[in-house]
Amino acid sequence: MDMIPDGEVRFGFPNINDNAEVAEMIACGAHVVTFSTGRGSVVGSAVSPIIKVCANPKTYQRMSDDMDVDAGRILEGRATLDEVGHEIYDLILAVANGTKTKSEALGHQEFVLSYKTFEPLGPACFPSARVTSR
Amino acid sequence: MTINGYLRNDGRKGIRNNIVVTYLVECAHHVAREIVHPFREQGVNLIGFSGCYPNAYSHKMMERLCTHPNVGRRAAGFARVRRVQQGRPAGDRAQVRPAGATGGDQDTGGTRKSIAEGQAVDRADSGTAPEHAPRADGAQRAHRRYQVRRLGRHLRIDREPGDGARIRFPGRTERELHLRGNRRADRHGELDGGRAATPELGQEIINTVAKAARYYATLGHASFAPAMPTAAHDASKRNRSAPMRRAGNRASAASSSRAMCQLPADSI
Repeated sequence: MDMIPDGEVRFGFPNINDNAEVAEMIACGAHVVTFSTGRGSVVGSAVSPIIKVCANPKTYQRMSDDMDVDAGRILEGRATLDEVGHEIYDLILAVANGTKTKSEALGHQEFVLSYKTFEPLGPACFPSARVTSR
Repeated sequence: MTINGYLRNDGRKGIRNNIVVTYLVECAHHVAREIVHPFREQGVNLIGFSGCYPNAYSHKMMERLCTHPNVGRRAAGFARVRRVQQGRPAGDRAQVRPAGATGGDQDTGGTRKSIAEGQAVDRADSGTAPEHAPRADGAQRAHRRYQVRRLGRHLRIDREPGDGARIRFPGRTERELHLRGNRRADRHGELDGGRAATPELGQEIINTVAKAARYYATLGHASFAPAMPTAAHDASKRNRSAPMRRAGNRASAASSSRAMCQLPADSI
């Protein structure tokens, strides 16, 4: 059985789905992840809560149990951009204070991690390098 | 503005006090999942690596996740194969107290015994309900109030077309300033080398965009949308080889309709 892909050696898609990137954000230190979705992703995550922002009114109507913020109100003229912005901000604070997001309450804990390789980056390009060189 | 959080020994603050059960190879996934199942509504999370051989990236990811400030304890790590255990997240930094067994089902006598042992650990912890858990270092509860700006925040922007997912917080208000220092965006298309803190970092960002465009194009996948701002795009074009330019152009053409999903860094 030939199970090795032909051609140059690769690991495949860098991130096979959204949760692979979410895990990387959390590994970078994210306490909360704000996730915008139009079609209606239901995922949550282990370790840090995900706040789902849906700007598609039809999707929100179908999946309001899974969506935290109805940003489609802007398109429909039921709210202004600033109002929804404030709502997202207030929700981030509430979640940081312990309120469960929709995906947390539903028990979503999706997690994906696979192989990658990276060459070391920096430190010369980091902003801290400029500060210390002064 | 303050919130309630959990203080870790190294001074970082978490907003959750989760326990993570980890598996470090796919064949230990079932054991770990079964251990978590009875406790899944008590803040016990399952994370793991499905590979079968040590990998520096996955090792670093697991180490960082196990020591994330939202994690109070790493309850158990399960690796089935000894050689993979060598690559496990061994760096239990000060704030994460490994509450119990870290082992493999080959050591403990197979699936059934491993599940029983792992659940016993979770049960022992389970006064463990996260809201009442002791501080990660075993001292008193660390539910305290912290400045909002201490918290990191990431924005995840969906790649789906047509969602109109431009998010903007209110103008230059106190709210904006609280969050400004800690944002990160994951989409390469949101990255603009021209606004980087240093020219060197700007070039690294441009290189990253070019690398992603080439990588996805090589794989025949058109979901990557560079949508680079003009200055950065021009610089990137100058710096890319001909094959990379072709790859980037294909990716750009395939996804030009997704510009609405962009999140300009200065709009937050």
